[in-house]
Amino acid sequence: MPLFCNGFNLFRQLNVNKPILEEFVKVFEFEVIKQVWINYSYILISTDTDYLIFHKEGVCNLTSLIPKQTVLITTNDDQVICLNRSGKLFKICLADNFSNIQELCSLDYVESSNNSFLNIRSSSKLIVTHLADGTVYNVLEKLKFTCNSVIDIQCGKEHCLLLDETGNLYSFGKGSHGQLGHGKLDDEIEPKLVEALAGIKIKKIAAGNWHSCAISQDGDLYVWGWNSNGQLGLGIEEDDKKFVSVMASPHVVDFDDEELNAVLVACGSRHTIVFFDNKQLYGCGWNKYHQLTKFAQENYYKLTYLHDFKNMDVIHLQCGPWNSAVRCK
Amino acid sequence: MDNLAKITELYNCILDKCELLNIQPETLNHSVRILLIVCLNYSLDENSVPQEIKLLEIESILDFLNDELNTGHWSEVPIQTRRYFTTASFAKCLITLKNSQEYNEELLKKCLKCVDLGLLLGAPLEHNLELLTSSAKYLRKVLNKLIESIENKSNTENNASKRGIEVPKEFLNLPGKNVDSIECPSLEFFNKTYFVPQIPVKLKNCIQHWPALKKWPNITYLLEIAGDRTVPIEIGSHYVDETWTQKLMTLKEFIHKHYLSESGDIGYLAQHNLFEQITELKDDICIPEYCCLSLDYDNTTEPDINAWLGPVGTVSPLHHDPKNNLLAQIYGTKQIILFSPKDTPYLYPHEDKLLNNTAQVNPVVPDLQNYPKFTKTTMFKCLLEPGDMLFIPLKWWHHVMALDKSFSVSFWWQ
Repeated sequence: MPLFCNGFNLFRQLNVNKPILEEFVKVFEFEVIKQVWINYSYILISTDTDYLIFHKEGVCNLTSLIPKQTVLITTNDDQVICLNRSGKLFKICLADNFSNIQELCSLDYVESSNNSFLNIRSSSKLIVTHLADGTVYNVLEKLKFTCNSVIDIQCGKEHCLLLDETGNLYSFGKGSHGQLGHGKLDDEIEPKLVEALAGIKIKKIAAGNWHSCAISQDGDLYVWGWNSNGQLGLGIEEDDKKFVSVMASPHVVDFDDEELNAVLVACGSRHTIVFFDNKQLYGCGWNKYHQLTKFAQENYYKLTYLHDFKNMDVIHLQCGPWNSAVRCK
Repeated sequence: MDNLAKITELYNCILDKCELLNIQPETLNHSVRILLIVCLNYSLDENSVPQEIKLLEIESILDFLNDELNTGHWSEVPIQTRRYFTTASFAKCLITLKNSQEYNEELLKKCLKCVDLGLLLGAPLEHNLELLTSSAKYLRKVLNKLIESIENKSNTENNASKRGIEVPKEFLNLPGKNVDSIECPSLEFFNKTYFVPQIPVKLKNCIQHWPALKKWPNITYLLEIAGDRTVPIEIGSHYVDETWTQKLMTLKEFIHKHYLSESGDIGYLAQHNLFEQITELKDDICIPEYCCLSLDYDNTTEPDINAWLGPVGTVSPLHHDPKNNLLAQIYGTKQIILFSPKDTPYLYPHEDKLLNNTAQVNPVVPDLQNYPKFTKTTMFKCLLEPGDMLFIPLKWWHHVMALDKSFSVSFWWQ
């Protein structure tokens, strides 16, 4: 399974000896890549046997450090976080060169045989996990909200999106940049249905630092939140009078080719990448570190063609803060 | 002066080198912290790292910190993060200058912009309090010398228009009562009659001695002192408007695009602490002695001083502030409409948390269909002319509109 990456590589986290990767390059290939976590200065990859960290100091194998009872793993710019089945969280810190593990905290949770942790996501400001019985924790807080069919969680810097099986999208956290999509800039402590998308079946979600994206069953792309660098891809340049820097409600993005359907989406800190059913990758937003294209233009305000993956079987898109990554089968 | 001497001048802005290098663990991402220390070391000493790598490194640090500055409400950003932004901006300026063969206009402007961003987004260090203000002062001097002969020294005329003495019609037609107006009252009288009871009043002839009244109407003076400095400009009719936005630009750009030009969008240098950024201008004003009065002498602070420079037609929609305010008019005329805090229920404050100090009703052309209770308010009004100062008590609602090109300075204090 190859992983193609571009963008910021000052810490050699992409395993290549160049400070910036201007174009998508196959930087990793393993027989199986289970999961990838891309952060500001390091990458964590789980293969079928190992957990490998790539950063300035080279490769570091975390496998022996990770507690046996770990069920889920998440990361942020500062640490790798392991959650065990009884609701205890551990951290392996970048500042310690990933050399030891410490207890982080314990959730208010009683282990039971018919319940289990299903997913965990984090950013530097929040950690969110949910269980089979429908409970959701915004660590350490157990939320009032429950939903027993959550299929995806995505965390922005200070906000969180939850997607359920029926295609409903919920959001909570900070709303200062419109990233919650409730039409206001207010914060929400509890997940709240994004009403503007009610009735539209959402299949995929993604969260950037302060923006959010969703793909519907019909292949439409909805965007909202901060548009500082064009990451919403609305096609309006910054000098234009109609330019909007904060979009507090979901807005559908026009594609040049109306026949196209969006399939996958991912967000970096201030950029967005979208994979279409014609196997082409498009992107918009910040390009200072070539997280989109090799060209020198700093911001792309409109979804722009990036790369053709025509002979590949693309299965997953992902971004680091200032990188993009495409995982293939 | 050769390049070495110029760099030395900037080094002289450093009073305490240890403070710059003191980046505490836990207060910053580990990788960024190590990189910032490396960057500082080679901006202060000789080394052989290629220039483009050095610049990439320091840029990436500033970008990382910029994201941190955008996290949470501005008031919740740790002061350390803002101080690191200051330090990194200074380092970028040194790195840029150190590795350049020739000091041209473009290079110096780039450095000045970088220092200004540090001043706007960062926070002063504790021991190197004036690190960036003195750097900016110095860079401005070098830059002025360099372009002295080339640029429009003389032909931007004294622009502050002289309006006739008659009171403008739009002001006369407002239904409100005029606020009291008195000549330079004693501190005691002002305290007893207006400050303690919290009543707005126009104070005449209190600021006649400010050099600003003579110097600032001459736009050439402002351009010379601050033309190349980067400042935040509000674009759009007012901050509640959907297309309202804030942009950073040099004062020169602002003056040509939005201030002197009749056709451009309305641009407003509003609520900006210009005097902490460009300390040269602070010498032209004085903090009014009335600002030492307090309703709670256990909790007093230095006043926040803000500049308000804009063309005719700038509007601050009806809102209130959590502090007492003295609004001093340097040149131009402003119309201010005021309501007492008692009228709050009749002014329909916005429900959003961010905007609930702002009213939905526009007092100049009230929409009585949607805001019928507005008729129950008691409107006060004030025409503020050069040399006047208006006392706006805390929580008092005010709507401000510029009737010509205008420069005001506000003092907010507790």
